[in-house]
Amino acid sequence: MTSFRLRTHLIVYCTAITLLLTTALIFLYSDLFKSHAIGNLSAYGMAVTRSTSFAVVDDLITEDYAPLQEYVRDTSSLPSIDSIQIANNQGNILAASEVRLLGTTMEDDFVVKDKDLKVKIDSAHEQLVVTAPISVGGMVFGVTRVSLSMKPILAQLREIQRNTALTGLGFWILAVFLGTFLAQRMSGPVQRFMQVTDSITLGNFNVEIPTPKGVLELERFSHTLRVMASTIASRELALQNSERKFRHLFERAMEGIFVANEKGELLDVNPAFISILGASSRETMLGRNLFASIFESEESFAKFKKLIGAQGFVKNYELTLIANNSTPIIASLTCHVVRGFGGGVNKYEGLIRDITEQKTAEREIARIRNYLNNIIESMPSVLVTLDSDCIVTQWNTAACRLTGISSQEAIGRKIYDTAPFFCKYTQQVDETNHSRNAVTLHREQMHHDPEHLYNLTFFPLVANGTAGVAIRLDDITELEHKEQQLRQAQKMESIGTLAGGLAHDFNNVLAGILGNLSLLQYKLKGQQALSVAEMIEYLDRMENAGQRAVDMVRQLLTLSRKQQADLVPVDLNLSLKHVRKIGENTFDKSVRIVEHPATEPAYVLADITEMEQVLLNLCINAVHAMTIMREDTQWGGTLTVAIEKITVDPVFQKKHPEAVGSAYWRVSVSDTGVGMDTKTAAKIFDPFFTTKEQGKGTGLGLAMVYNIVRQQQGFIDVYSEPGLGSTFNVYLPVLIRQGEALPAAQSLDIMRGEGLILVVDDDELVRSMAEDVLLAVGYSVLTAANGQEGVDLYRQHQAQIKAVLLDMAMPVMSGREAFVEMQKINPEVRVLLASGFRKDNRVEEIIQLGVKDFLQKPYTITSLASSIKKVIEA
Amino acid sequence: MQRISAGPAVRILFSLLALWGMVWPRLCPAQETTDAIRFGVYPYKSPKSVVEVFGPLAVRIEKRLGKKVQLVSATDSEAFLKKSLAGEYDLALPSITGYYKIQPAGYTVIAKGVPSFWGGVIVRQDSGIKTVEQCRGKKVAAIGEYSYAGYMFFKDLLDEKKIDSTKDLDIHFLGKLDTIIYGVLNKKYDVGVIRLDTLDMKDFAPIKDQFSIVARSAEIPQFPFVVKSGMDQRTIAAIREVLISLSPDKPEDLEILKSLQIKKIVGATKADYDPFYEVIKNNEYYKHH
Repeated sequence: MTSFRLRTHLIVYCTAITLLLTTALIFLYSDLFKSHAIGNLSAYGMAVTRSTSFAVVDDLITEDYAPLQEYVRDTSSLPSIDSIQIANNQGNILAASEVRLLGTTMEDDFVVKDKDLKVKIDSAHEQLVVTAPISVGGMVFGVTRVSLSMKPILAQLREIQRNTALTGLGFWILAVFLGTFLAQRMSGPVQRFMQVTDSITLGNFNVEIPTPKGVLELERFSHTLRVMASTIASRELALQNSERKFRHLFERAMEGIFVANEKGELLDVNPAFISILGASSRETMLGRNLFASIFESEESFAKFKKLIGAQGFVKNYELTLIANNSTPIIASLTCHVVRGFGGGVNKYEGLIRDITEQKTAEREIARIRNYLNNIIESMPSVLVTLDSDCIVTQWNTAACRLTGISSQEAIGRKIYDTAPFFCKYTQQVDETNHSRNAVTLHREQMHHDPEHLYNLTFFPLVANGTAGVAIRLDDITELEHKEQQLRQAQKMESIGTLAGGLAHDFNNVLAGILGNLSLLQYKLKGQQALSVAEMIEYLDRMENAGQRAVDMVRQLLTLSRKQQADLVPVDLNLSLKHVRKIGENTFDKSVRIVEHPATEPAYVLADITEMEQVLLNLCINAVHAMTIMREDTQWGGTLTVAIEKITVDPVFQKKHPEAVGSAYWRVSVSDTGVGMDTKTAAKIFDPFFTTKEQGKGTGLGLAMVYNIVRQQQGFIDVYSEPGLGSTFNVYLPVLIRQGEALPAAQSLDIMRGEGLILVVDDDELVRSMAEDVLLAVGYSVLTAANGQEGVDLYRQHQAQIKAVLLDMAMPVMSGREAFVEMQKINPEVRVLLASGFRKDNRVEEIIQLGVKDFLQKPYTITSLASSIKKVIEA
Repeated sequence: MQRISAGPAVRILFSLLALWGMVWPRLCPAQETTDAIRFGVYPYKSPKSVVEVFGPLAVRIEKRLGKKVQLVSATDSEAFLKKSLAGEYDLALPSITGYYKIQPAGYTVIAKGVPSFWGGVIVRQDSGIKTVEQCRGKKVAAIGEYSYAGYMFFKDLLDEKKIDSTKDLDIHFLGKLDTIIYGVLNKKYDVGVIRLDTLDMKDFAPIKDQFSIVARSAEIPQFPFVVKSGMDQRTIAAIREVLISLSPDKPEDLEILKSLQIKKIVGATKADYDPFYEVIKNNEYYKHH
């Protein structure tokens, strides 16, 4: 196709458009004018015919034709009317403006029906002919025809066409000039742009782009070209960077990456591929057949070809290949076919991964799984696991043995259908499932095997994200038997411990009996007068001594009897009384016993003997701490036993997470003995751990106490300071007896306050808990970890500090010393002393120094808030 | 501006052309369709009204006969009589007096409308006129001298009472019933002479009570449907059948009957009109026209 210059194009287009527009305008305007003019003329003609029809119809009905010609003559003089005719309905002209037509028949199609009006253009005569019926009530009585002259219209039309053509010619000349001018304006910049684009095509992005002014499109094009050049340059750079990046990835990838042609001949490989196949260099690999290199057998290759032929790709296809160093490698091959436009194979791309180690690891995992399975199957405990719907997922051999139900029968079914005796543990299973906390039941009897006792543990199970419950049954029949033996032995040990004192008391009793008896014999043998009253007195003394011996023996028998634990309501006050009685006779006389029983019966659900055993063991330990364990010669001290009710509040629960009930009886056994450090205190409940000399303790006493208390759903805490003494707090759930009110919920009547409180305590947990409590009830808090730090803080903030919560026993500087220092700073300092010890002489001494009040640990939110308020207001 | 007037030659030429235009149709009867039945209606209404009233009937006859029925009327009673006497109508509805006048042309009565009607002398109720004598000196509106119901019977009554219609009364012949009725109502005239059943028409029913009738004529039969002598009997029978088959029970027929102011059309002969002829034959006007 021949190319022309832009200027030629523009001139041709302008000419063509102008001519087309002119022609279109002539036709359009002429047609519009003609339609409009003829429409008007037609309307005029119709009006004349209607008027004629109305005027002459009566004459036609009455056949009075004389007035018709006169009417025609008048009407023909109207403007634009060339002629008018009136005919009867046979077409005979009755009246006409051209008299020559009278007596003739109307030309053309004169038959006009009622309301049928015809308009026709007579081009030959340049007339518009309107023919209309003359009718009344649907009956046609004649026809009227009016011929209107179109000559003025046609003359005007011709003039319009001529003027329009002349205007079009003027526009055409203007368009040619304009086109030439525009072409000259545009062709220069366009040629310069062409040179620029040629440069860009050759990769020269730094070429200067012309910036023509005045033509918006060219300005925009210039801008766009500049942006385009910049974008292409950026993309070129990005492409190069991308190429480098992916080349880098390709080179550094751990997986072997390859590209092979349609025959499988390698076109490109990365170093990892070379390494996996043990080749020496890239060059040795290129050109080799991929499939011949990696498939160990024809059969394996055929299988691969079938797969990739069907799917177009293979993913993680495992194969064993022999590397160049003859080492077998397990590899995973991922490969896909790149097809050409015709659908044929163009090339293969893919990656190969050495999964030898992974496979080895999988085998190891399988081995470990088998090993663990063996353990589960071999363990003597029954282990059953359930999913969240209580469907059995694991049923070990012990479970089969116990129930006689095989794992094949059990797994996949609901446990309650499989082993109905589990039905009574529905609640525990559900609780474990929902709370995700373990639940343990002790000494449970199974229906089918009442001879044996089991510990049941329900613990939450999370396996592969699926929740469930595991149930473990441990046959503790033998263990229980041995524990009973152990308890009995420990009782015997306690009795042995008491034996020295008992012997002394028995000696006293026997001395009382034998002394009075010998005195009686003496008097009887010596013929001395012996009154009846004297005899009765001697006999009474002997009887009293005997009775005392009977009591002692009975108590010992009670303590040492071997029996099954029998849980009954036990009043701890009564147990304390019994132990006190034993202690009075057996404890070293250097020990002063102080008791603070509860003000009401302190009922717990326990075994009487076990409770007394607990109290006695704790008391014996306390006495030993004040006597035989002292290194100095000053034996003795105070043994304080107190019972009080504790209502659980959030603070208490934070300190004792094992507290699940709403109220507990706290039995505190305090001594002023040797005390112990934290390290020792952590071990004291371990069986066979003792700090006593060889032969003086078995290390079973506190372990037994711990076991008994735990079995009663209770717990123990210990507070001890070396050289100061120890306090053992035993917490046992309050037994609500029939008719008694439930313990009131923790009273929220907490005394709030404000001001700055300094908390000084070395125990981080206690310190932060006290801080939280005081902040919660409205105070601001400063904390110090020891006495010295507390004194320093008090010195800095004495004006703001309203009160000090001061621990009694602390490292660096004790509570007593800290208080004295604070008093030096401010004699009016308000201190609330806190201690795990009971309010004893040591406390009293500090109170005497000026401490406002004492608060025994562990305290509750109510007691702390109340005490601090009391101290501030004191 | 100088008025340009047509010269005498031109005026003569136009007059001749006009005259030629008037007579030409009559000179060229051959150009009319000889098959067409010309149905001439006495010009007792305006030409357009005649077409509106008798048009549907003409169409009905046209359909029955399968021939074109050309409904025509005349400019006046005289013209109608002339054309009738000239035998221009194949089927005609002349007035009763006209019927006797055109007897020489040999027209035969084939049907008539029923019931008959009466002419009457009406006055406004508040006019105080109770008798014909009291009409003396009053302004009277009547149809025309040729109309029995619209004047002739009143003239006879005046003659009986020795009242000279030319001197004792101021009589105006208006030709149209509605002009007379509204003329009396609007006090342009004191007395009206009309066909009395006109007051029963829908247009006049609301004002009928405002008039009282001073005198009424003898019973006047409806105008007769007549056919020209020489018409073949089958055509006559077909026309009669169309006429008498009009039933007030058919809505389309009822419209035609209502427009003719009759209940129905029945077959009739000359004998049905002879009693009435006895009444009018002595009428002066009838005798002289």
